[in-house]
Amino acid sequence: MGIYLFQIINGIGLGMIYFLVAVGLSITLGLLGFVNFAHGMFYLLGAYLTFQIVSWGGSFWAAAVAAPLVVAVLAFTLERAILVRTYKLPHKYQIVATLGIVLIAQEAVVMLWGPLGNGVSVPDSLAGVVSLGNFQYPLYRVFVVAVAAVLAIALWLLLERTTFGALVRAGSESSEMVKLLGVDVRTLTSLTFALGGMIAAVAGVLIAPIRGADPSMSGEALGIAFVVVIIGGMGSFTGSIVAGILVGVVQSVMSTLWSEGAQLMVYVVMTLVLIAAPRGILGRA
Amino acid sequence: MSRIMNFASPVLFPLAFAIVLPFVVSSPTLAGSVLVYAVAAMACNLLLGYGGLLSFCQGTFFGLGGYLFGLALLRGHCGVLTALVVAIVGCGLIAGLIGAVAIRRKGLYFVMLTLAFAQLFYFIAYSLPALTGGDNGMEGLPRLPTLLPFLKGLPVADSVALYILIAIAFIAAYGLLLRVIGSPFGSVLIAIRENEHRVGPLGYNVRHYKTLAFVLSGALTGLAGAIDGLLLGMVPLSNIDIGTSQNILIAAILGGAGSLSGSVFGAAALVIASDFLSDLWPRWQMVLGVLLVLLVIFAPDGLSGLWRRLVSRVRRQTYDRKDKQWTTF
Amino acid sequence: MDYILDAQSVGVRFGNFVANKNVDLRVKRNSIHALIGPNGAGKTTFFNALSGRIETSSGRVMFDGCDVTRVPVHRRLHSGMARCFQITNLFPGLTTRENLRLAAQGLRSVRALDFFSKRERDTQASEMAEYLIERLALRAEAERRVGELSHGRQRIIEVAMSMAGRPKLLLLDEPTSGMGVDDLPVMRALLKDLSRDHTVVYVEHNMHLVMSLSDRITVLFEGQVLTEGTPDEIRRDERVRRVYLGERHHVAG
Repeated sequence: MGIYLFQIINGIGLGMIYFLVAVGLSITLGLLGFVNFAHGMFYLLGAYLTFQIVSWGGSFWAAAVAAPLVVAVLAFTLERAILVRTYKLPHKYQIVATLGIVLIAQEAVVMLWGPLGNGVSVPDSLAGVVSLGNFQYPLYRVFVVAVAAVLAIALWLLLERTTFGALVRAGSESSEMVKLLGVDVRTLTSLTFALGGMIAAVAGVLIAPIRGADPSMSGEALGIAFVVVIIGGMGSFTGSIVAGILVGVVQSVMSTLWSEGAQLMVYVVMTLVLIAAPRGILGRA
Repeated sequence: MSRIMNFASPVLFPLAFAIVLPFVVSSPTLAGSVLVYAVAAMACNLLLGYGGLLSFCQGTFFGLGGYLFGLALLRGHCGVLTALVVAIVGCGLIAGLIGAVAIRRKGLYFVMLTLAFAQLFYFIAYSLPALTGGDNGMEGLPRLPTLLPFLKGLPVADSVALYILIAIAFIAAYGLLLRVIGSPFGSVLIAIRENEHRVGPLGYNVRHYKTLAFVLSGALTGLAGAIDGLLLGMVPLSNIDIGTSQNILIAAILGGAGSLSGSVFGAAALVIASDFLSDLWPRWQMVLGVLLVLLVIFAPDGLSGLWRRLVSRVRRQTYDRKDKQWTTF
Repeated sequence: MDYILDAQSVGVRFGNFVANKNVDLRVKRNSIHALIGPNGAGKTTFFNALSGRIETSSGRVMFDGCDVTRVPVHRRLHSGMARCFQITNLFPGLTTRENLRLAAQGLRSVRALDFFSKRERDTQASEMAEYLIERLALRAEAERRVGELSHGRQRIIEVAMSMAGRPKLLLLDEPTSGMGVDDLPVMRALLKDLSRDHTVVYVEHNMHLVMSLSDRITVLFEGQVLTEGTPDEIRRDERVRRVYLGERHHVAG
């Protein structure tokens, strides 16, 4: 019994990280109108930058602040320099451009850090366990859940209660309308893209002490992000949280029952949800 | 005589290409690989260039075609032709299933669904090593002489015979796709690409057309995967992964979406370049990435677009007017 | 009374926004019926509801005796209803001939799923395209790409597309919109000609055309029917004049 509880809590933590990756994608998807296939690279870079900063002797905390900021700047630059040139083209070309970008990023990562993964250790302040009677649970994992929850709330507040958030939401419905309001849509788009990338980078930072950093993370993250958006429903914030946790729990529990099939079960669940609820659990029209 | 020309002329191009290719490329296996990817790229183009549908399931059917072919040969003890048919029909059916769910949605949600389904099938293949060989792939596919014993008597090398078989499949696929594009169905598909919203009010059930396009594309990609199994003697797991979908997509876009002959050249360029570059630099994919970005920004029409621009410059005419119509080269 | 089209209390809402409310429209066979009203009156929305492009929130649409309220858009064509669009909605990269051929081919859309025969074999569709080119004097533009033609020509091709399906009812959304002085008489003659063997319901802003051409006129205002009657009745109606005052339209004959 204890092992299942353990895995379920693991799953929640993992799920919250998945939620962060997915929500970053949703935000940019809504505003840009195309799927950024390079989104996984922000997650990847978040993890690798954490590794690098820590191996330079920096603290995990320094990495946790620096990595997302660096990635945000990178995302901003990327959008300004390259993506903006693709907006007048049909979506398929935009997707191909982002495919090219992620290829460059992946190969760069392997060039700099090698094809095998690199481990990141849990920071000392977060090592150790939390005890509840007989049940012991790693402190770091609790930290992950806490941070992700705080971020989720902060993000929700940003989107629902600030002008910026209102503009982002309005912009994803109609960029024309937002332009008419006198808003600089260009800057809004770049900032939103940077925000989405930054959130994904935070997810990468959080997951680094759990699974390390390796080049295949980028592709996995994209697939998971899609599953979360599909299950949760496009455009639904709460849906992404619920779906993220569902995916995380399924994966974690399955890794005990049938480890080869853990990833598979995630996609099987997705297929079942699609058949039963084609717009996702909480999807809007 | 003119009736024979009428029948044969559409396939002159692929025939010529298949004949010239082995002299240009270093090995018969590589030549075979080019043709295999050409079929896959053309099938992808049917969906993408003519129908305007971006899908990530190319690898799914490529790998599935290989697996079904292998299973039919190894477990079902079928002949080559039967095994090929199993691969084609099997992929068509599964394409129908995926299409039934995915095509309900439009635009980028459709793209996401295809990617998610592609992952699903990848993990199915990965998790069932008893069927697919899992990580190691399906090995031990019979080679051609075993499959077609009459070849042993002929004064033709095995590799040549294999190439000829692949070339036949390639030419047949090209001819078939040409017919599809020139058919009533093809004209509606093109209309969907041009202006999807106008097609429904004209009386066409757009979903049916998209689904059929998806099925045809999947079936043909399955053929490519089966032939690949014949060529390599095995079906690696990587055939069914997203990377393969991406490569096939890139080949189609590189050649020029909407141009069948372009897909052939795009596939050739990709296969030959990656073979050449991977020996030079292990991180050669970075070059590919840069190429893609440059391609999208400066030459979205791909190789066929560049070719057309060159030709019209030489002829000092706007040659692309007539050419762009049905793009059958 | 033989009404080919009978819309009963049709309502369309988008969330909280009511675009159409209680709209009744009864159109006699082979008549020309105009739908007018100031901008934002809900005319195009109503058209979309009639043609099946959007769903009605309330009410019924009866066409030729059948209830088509829930029938999807591609099937309405097969029951005899054709629609042309306010914003030109053709296949820009294809020739005039191919645009028309596609429209004609759609009549037998299941046959068109044929992916193996050459498309030229469907002579019916090609002949219909040829007939339309002839009837609408489109010979000069026949092999040119529609996206390159003038706006007026494109509008005519729009109408021609909706004729290709041999419909009983033609829904024309602002057929003369943006048309130049040269093309107007052509369209006028075309509409008159069409009413001989089709029923025409059209949205228009050109009052001269509406007054001189229509058998009956329905006036929409703020999503509802203001009034309906013959051109003379409408011309004399105070309310219609007031509604159009801000639009600076001459309703007087």
